[in-house]
Amino acid sequence: MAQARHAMLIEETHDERARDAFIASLREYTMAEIYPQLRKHYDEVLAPRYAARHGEAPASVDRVRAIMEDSPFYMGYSLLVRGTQELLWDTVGEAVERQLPALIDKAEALRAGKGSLTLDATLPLPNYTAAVDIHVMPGGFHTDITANDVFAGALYDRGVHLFAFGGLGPLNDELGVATAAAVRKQFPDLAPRRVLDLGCGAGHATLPLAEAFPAAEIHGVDLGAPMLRYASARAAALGHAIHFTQADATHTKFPDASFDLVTSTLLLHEMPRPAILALFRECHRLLRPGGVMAHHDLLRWPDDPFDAFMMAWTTRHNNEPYERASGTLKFPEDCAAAGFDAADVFIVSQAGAYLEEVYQVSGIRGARKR
Amino acid sequence: MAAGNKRRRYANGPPRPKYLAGVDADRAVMMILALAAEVSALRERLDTHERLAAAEQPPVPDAVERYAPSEEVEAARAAARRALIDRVTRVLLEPDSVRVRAAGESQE
Repeated sequence: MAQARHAMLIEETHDERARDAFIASLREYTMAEIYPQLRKHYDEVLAPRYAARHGEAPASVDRVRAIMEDSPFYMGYSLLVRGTQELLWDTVGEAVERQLPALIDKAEALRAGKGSLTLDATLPLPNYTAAVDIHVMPGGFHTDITANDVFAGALYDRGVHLFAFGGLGPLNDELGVATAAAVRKQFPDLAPRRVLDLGCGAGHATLPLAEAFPAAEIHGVDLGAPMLRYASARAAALGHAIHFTQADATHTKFPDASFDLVTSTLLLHEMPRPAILALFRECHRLLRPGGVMAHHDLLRWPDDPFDAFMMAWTTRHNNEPYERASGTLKFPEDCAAAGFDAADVFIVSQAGAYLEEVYQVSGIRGARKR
Repeated sequence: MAAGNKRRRYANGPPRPKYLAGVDADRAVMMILALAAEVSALRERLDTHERLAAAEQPPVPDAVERYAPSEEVEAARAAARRALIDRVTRVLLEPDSVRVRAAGESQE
C-alpha cells in the first residue's frame, strides 16, 4: 500500500524508494511469514522437547525465554528484526537529512496558515523518555538537531509506514480512525466542543478526530518539539486547523474542565505505570462533566507464556521498556483511582488495524466523567 | 520450515566450521542487511533502465527518477525482493536442527 503524498512527506529518489521497498518487504517477511513459523516451531519441536525432559510443559515466561534464546532460529529471527529496525531509521534518516533545510522552510510556510503551534523550550523531559529512544529511533521524538527542526517528525512519518508495511493506511491513521469511530459509536450523544489528543506525535491519530468531530476545536500535545513542528505543518498541508502544544501529557497547562474528549493512541505502552496513572488523573482534571477519555492501546497482557514472551520482544529488542504496564492496567480500578466512577468505564476490543492483526490484544478503553 | 516438496537446502555431512561469534557476527549480519538493500535498489534501477529501453526511451537520470512502475511492475519487483530476502536470510533462519549440527553440538 503506497503512502499518500502530502506537502511535508519527504521526497525520495528512485534508489531511496527502492531501499525503502526492500525494508518494507523485510518487515512483511519477518512478521507475516517467519513470526507464525516461530510459534509452530515452539509448539511442535521446542515445547515437546522440554516437556519430554522435564515432565511438564514450560509454564513461565522465564522458561520460554531460556528455551527460545537457545534456539538459533529464534535468535536469527530476532537479529533480523532488530537489524531491519536499525536499517529502517538509518535509510529513511539519510533521505530526511538530505532535504532537511527545504523541509524546515516548507514547514514554516505551511504553519503560517491554519491552526497553531505553541512550543515550550523549558519543558523538562521525563527520565523515562530521556533514557530510551523508543523504537530504536535515534534521537527519539524529542531531539532537535538544528534550529526549527522537523527531523523526528519527517523520519517517523515515513519510517512508521515502512515499519507497518503500509498496514496503518495511506496516511498512517487507521488506529486514530478506529479511536474516533469507537468513541462516536460508544457515545452517540457526545458532541465535543474541544478535543485533546495526548502524545500526538506526528498527528496520525489527531487528524481523524478533526474528521470525526468537524465542529470541535482540536488540540494535540507531545513532549517532542521536532515532532510537533512537523505535525502542525502536516496538518496544515492536509487542510486541518489543529492546535499543537508542547507539554507533558501527565501535567498539561490547560485549565480544569476545558475539554469534552481526551484521547491517546499508542501512548500508554511507552509509559511506566506511575506516569499512566498520573495521565488518567490529568484526563479527569481536564474533562468537563459528561466528557470522555479514550485510550487506544494494549488491552491486556497475554496469559499464555509463549505469547507473553513474544509480546515482550519489543521490550527487550525495540527499546520499549514499559510495554507491559499498559497491558496490565486494572480496569476499572485504575480509572476509579483517578476520579472516574467505576461504572462509567468502557472497553472496546477488536478495534482492527495492524496491531490487532499481529497481537490480537489491542483496543480502546477509557471512562466518561460524571 | 517443513521441506514439503521443495528441494532440500541444507546438506548432510560434517558440521559447518565455526567462524564469527557473538557481537561481531551480529554486526556483520546487520552490514549484510544494508548491502542487501543496496543490491535490491541496484536491481530495481537496472529494471527501470531495461523497461525504459524497451519503451525506446533513453534511460537518462531524469527519466529514471521520473519512472513510475505500474502495479504489474511493482508486483514483479515485490516478488524479486521476496526472493532476494529468502536467499540472503536462508542461513540466518535455517532450522535449529541444521544449526545445532553446524555448531558441532548434540541435539540431545
